Amino acid sequence: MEGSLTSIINLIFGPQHPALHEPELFRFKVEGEIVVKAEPRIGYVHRGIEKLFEKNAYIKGIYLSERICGICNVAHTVCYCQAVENVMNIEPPPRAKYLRAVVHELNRIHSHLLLLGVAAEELGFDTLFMLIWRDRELVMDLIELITGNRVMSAFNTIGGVRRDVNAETIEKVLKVLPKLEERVKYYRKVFEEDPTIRKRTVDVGILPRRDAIRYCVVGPMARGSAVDVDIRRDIPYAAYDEIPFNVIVRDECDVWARLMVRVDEVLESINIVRYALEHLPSGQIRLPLKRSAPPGEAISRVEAPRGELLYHLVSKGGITPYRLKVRTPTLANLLAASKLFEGHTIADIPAILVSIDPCFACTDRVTLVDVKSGKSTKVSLRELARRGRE
Amino acid sequence: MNHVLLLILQSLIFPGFIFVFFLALFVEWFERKLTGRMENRMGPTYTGPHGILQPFADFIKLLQKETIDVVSMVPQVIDLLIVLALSIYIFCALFIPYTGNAVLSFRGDIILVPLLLGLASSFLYFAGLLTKNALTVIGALRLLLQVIALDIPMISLIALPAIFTGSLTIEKVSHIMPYCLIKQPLLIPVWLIALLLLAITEQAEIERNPFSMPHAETEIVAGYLTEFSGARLALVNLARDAQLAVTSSFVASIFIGGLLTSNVLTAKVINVVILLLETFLVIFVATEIKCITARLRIDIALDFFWKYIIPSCIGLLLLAIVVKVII
Repeated sequence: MEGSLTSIINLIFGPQHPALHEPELFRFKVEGEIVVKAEPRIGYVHRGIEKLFEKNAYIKGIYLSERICGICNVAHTVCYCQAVENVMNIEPPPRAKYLRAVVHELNRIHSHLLLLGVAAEELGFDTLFMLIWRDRELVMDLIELITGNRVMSAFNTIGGVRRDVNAETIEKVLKVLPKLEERVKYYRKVFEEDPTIRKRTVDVGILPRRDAIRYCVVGPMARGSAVDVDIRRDIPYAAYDEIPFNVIVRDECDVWARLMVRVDEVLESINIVRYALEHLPSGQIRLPLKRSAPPGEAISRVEAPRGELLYHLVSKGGITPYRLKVRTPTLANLLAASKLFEGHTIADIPAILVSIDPCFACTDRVTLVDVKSGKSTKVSLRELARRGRE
Repeated sequence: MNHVLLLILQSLIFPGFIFVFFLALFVEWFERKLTGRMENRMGPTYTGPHGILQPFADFIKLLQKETIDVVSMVPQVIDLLIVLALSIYIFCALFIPYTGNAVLSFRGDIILVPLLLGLASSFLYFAGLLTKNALTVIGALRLLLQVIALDIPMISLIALPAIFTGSLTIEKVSHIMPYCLIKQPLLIPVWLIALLLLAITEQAEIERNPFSMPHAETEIVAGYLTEFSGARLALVNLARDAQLAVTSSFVASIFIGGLLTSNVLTAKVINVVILLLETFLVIFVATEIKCITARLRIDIALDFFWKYIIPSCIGLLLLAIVVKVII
């Protein structure tokens, strides 16, 4: 079949490319401007972290899990700490749970704003990119104020959190939130109304609800395709069972819907932070540290900014885990995304790619460490591409 | 003899090579600084006052860098095309009445200059196409599609000042354009619509957002410019800056004009200042549009041009003729 299409060009995206912010390779076969086939090749940022978990004590694992993905580091530590707490049979105090939710949401705001800025850049809208990233500094400052660092927060620990907030800090945070909210509302208007953005994103990369369920996509990608899932509501963790919030679901199923879901989620997150800080229970912030865990097994699920994050921890006693398996959201979403490229133009590639908010640093750790699942992933991708070609 | 010597001096110094060289670099700085300020950045600050020497420094730096050989069957032709494109832009500058009088001027040069501008950008297109790379080929194809869609609206818009003033000489049009509008106020609405269409068309002509598809960096790296490096890239950049400078000056001189006819030295200096200010105004508008839009897709842009811009330009041309006949 390929021989008959003589005008096909092999367009290689990556591992170094202006549209990719992490090293990853996509091989596109294009005919004129139309993509006929997309083939992702993952595995450039493999670091062997899952093996490292087995060699290090539980307490060191927190810092390892934080480094799986710098951007959504709080989601990873929350998920890891919950898994370890489940195995150790301890329950963090309520104040710690609320603080976890606060930092988790601030992390989500920063991650979503980062993505929205990148989306604007990929669409060629540099001004919007610069402005969103300027206002992202507001939330970065808040994270620094609460956790002591802008990105790598090292805030969660087994059995609670590491730093407390005082009344002064809460007041400062509550003062900044309205500013942030006002800016995000403005960007919502821009994404909703700007004709050039709409032209580039509406009806591009449509993932129908049926396919979204079939490919098991997670997070904003699923919610942009009218699949109503959110771990925070479905299986509440931290303090989410006590905090009221809405799950944003849109039924347009295109790139635009996925971006709008994220804008609206930022607004929801701001409300969650505000509610959590206003209703912060008093008490201690962590339990005394236990070094070893009894034999057992635990699964922890968290709604990371990019979707559902899953940690599966197996303990056979002692101070190190026997096995820790991580399933990150981008791995779940990438399968569906490589299907979305087909039939669209080259210009749509960055738009579709950005709409899944790919985080390859997370993904690669999974594929290559776990040889079995890694292999099966690759096979199914080829399978997918083959089906697309027929 | 004196006449020939003067012509050589003019084409080398003013308004020829040296002038276009520095104008192009200044225009690049102006655009970069404006873009920076509009995007809430500083823009160039380091080299010279307010970073004004940055484009010059970039140019010198690129000249020193290694020029990586491109994979092509005819590498010499690529260099030739780039130099030709640059010299055509400089040649066009000779037709633009910076001092009130153009160096070269004849009846019909208002048609020749856009033709030459189109020719020079197609030289750049061929230079890109001759390098063997998927990205350059895609970029060059996009540029070609864009240039084809651009020609009709550009020529019909440029015909408007000629119709208004009844002259085909850039020099003459630039002298009488504003007075012509004041004398015939019925033409002013036509002129305003023409300015609007011109703003869109020029944006595509100089390949800026929302029509920056030929070198869309997040899609095809640098489009047709991807394979150029070192001295070759320096010349390509200079050619593109010269394109921006000359196109904007040309558009400013025929659509706004208002140059003095006097032959006194002060009048000539005033003319240079007026025309440069008008040029910067045109670039300001182009940068503003660039900063408030996202990049379109090539099919959307072509659709837009063939369905809306071309019919409205031709319609406007007919309207102008009718209005002119009534007057």
